[in-house]
Amino acid sequence: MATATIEHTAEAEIRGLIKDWAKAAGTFDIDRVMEAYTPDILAFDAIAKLQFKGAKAYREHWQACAAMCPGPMIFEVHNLAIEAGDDVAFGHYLVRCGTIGEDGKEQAGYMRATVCCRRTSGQWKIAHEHFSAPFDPESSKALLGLEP
Amino acid sequence: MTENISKASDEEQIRALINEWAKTLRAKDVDGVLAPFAADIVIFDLAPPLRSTGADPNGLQAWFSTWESPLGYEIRDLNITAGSDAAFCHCLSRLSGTKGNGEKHELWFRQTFCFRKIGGAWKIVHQHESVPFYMDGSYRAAVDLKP
Repeated sequence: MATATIEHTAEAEIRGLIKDWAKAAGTFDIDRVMEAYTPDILAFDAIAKLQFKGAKAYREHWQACAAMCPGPMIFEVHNLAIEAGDDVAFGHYLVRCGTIGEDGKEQAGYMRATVCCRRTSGQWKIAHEHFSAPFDPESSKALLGLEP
Repeated sequence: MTENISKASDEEQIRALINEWAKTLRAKDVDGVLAPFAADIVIFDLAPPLRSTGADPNGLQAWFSTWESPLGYEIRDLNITAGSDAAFCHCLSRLSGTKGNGEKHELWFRQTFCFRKIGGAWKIVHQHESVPFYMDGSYRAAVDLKP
C-alpha cells in the first residue's frame, strides 16, 4: 500500500512536469523548457543531429528550433504512459506537433516521445528524452503523416 | 552502503542484459532478442508503424532473413540509470551487414531502453529506436550521420 501510494505520487509529479514542460515547449518559452531538464541531459531530438549533450547544447538547439517556427505552434501530448520507481522513472507518449498558418490552417503530424527522469533532492527532472518519426526504409524519408 | 551495492548490481545486471541482447541480435536469434521483452512492451521502431505493443517474432524473423548472416551491431556511449525497480539506458548503435541481394548497409541510430524489474528480473518494457530527419525541406531520414 505504502509503495503503491509513493508510485502514485511520483506518477502524478511526472505527469505535472510533462504538462508544464509541454506548455512551455508549445510557446517556445525556452527558460521554462530548460527548467525541466537535468544539467547533464542527453537528448535524441527528431531533427538535425544524432544527439545533444548537456543543457547548453540542447538550449542552443531549442533556440534554433524557435527561430525556424516563428508562428503559433501545435504541441499536444497524447497517450502518455508513465512508469515510476523510487528515484528513476520514464514515460512515453505521442506528440502531435506542427504549425498554424496565417490562414488558420494546421500543418501537424504525430511523432513519438520517450522521457526518462531522475529524482534528485526530492525533485523530478528529465535526464534523457528521445523524439522521432519513423522512416520509410525504401525511400529513406521520414513519415510525418502517420496516425496513431 | 547496502543501497550503493544494490544500485551497482542493478546497473551491472542491465549492462549484462544489453550485452547479451547484442549477441543475440548479431546471431539473428529471434528467441534471444525477444527474451528480455515484457509481454506488453511498447515499441517505437525505426520503420512504421508509429507505435506497436508486444513482440512480433514473425516480423523479426522476416527482417533477419533479408540479411546474410551474421549482423554487425556495435554500441557506443551506453549510459545506464538504474533505480531498484525502474531503469533506463541510451546509446548510439551501428547496424551493419550485407543484404541478400549483396548490397552492403551501415546505419548509425539512437536507442533508448526502459526497464522494470518484474519477478526479480529486469525486463524491457519500452524500446525506442530512431534516426533524426533533415529539416531542409526534404524530410530525408538522416541515415548518413556518424557520431
